[in-house]
Amino acid sequence: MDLLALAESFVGAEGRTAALRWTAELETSPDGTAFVSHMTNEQNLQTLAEGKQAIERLVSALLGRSAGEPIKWYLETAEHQDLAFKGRPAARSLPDQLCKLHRGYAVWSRLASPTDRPAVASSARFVEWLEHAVCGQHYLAALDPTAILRGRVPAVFSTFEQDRATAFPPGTPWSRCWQVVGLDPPNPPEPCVLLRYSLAEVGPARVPTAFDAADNLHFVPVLAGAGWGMTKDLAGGGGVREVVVRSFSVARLRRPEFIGA
Amino acid sequence: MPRNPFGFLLDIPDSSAISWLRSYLRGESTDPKVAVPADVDSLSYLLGRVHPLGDAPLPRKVGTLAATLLSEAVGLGLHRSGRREDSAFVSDLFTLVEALPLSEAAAATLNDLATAGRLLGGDDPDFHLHALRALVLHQRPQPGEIRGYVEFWRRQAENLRHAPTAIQGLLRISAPAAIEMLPDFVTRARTATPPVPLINTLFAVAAELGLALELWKTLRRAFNDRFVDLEAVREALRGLRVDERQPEVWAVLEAPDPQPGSLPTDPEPIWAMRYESPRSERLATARQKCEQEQASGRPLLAAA
Repeated sequence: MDLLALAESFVGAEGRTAALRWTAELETSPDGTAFVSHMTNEQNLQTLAEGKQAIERLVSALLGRSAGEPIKWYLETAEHQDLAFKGRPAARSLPDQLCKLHRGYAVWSRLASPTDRPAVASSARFVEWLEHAVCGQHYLAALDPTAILRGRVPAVFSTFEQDRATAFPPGTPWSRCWQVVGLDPPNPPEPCVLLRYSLAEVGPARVPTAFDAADNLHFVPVLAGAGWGMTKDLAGGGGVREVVVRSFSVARLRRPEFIGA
Repeated sequence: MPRNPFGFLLDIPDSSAISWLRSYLRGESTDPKVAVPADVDSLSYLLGRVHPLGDAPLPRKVGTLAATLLSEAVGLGLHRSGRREDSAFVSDLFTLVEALPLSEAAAATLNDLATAGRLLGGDDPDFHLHALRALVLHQRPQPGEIRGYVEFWRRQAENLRHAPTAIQGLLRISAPAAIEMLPDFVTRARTATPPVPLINTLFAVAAELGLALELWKTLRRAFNDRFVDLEAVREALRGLRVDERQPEVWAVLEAPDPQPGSLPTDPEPIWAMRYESPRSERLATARQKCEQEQASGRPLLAAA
């Protein structure tokens, strides 16, 4: 997608100048180059009415942008202007069961029940809580059912459980699990859980776009017309299929699985 | 092993570190130093990188910086500004303080904040809860002060929303006092509309009691003649797989109603029976020293 040309076509030279200023700032900010690259390689957004409208809203917002913090500005704008989740609908033939690898401390600080989450007295106790309470049979009682599971922009990158079975079946070393879904394994190791949910419950799903990926270093641009995205497998394998879904409440989760560290 | 991405906080002056942490949590940093991965928020990333280090210099530094920022934020009334970003910032600071070790001075400030939390929080129903949660691991009762703390937590438990935190707080200083409160909490939680979940509270109970079978027997006795409540407790503990992982504990819970026991209910002599943190060990040592001094007739510790 040629953002400068699109900006000019929407609002004239002023739009082109604003887009140029923003992309120039992105290119000189840490990780901003990844975002510029994703936008350059984006092939689906401008072919869809919804995608085009999202680009137009971005350009309008760019006209009023003050200089500085280009990524933070985008993340806030994406939320207020509803820029994410604008790719083509995911292929209908895709499986129903989805999952997402989620960091343990994100579960504790963002998804746990705020009135009774246990004090993290030690790493061992923290792991025990994840394994036996969060991933136990009463998992919804350990979590806050009203908490919202969200991604960095308001869309959640999800992997298909069917692909998980071949790419990182139960028992796969934790660092390999991270790599398969395109994430750098944390150092020091951090326990995590596999959140599981059904497309029928949290859907619909869409093909991820540059607007969903923002500055994600490992996002793989989606081919024109594709029915799903593909994760970059950092260990060099084939990766797994992925889609994005809207943020959804914890009440819709099925029983999570402990991955450990 | 690569250097911790937050390790630079140990090398810069406190004023710069405070300023950096404020910008980092608010997502305002123009000099990021730390690249937060796209799959996680900045608070969770920070916790994941520093908490596993336990009571080491870096988590202590970050916890203390957060406590300083928290004092500043409360002083400025950010928690009452009505702005969503301010409220999220204060909540993140509380979470850091809750999870990380603190300097002695920061912990003392936090104690004051928690005891005054209901007043400071104004109309914000979460402020006092945040402060109580943060107090659980940072309460520092000196010998002679345990009864006061027990009373404090008992009062907090009168509010069902604060009761799980109060039980956790009590578990850290007097397991018998916490056990004594448990049946009433279970009844209220079970009969509330909607019911209040028991899992996390009972997780904390099981974790703190460990394999101290005498305490488990005390817990079992506390539920004498309260079959429905006891069954709710068993169900939650079964969900945590206590029956498989700690069969000796499970056997105590499965036993028929026992006779009243003889474990002392006065919290003072047994308040520091077995705690994990070095702080609690230090306090236990101080208590022991105090008792020796009492026995020998020499001067008592100043705090006693």
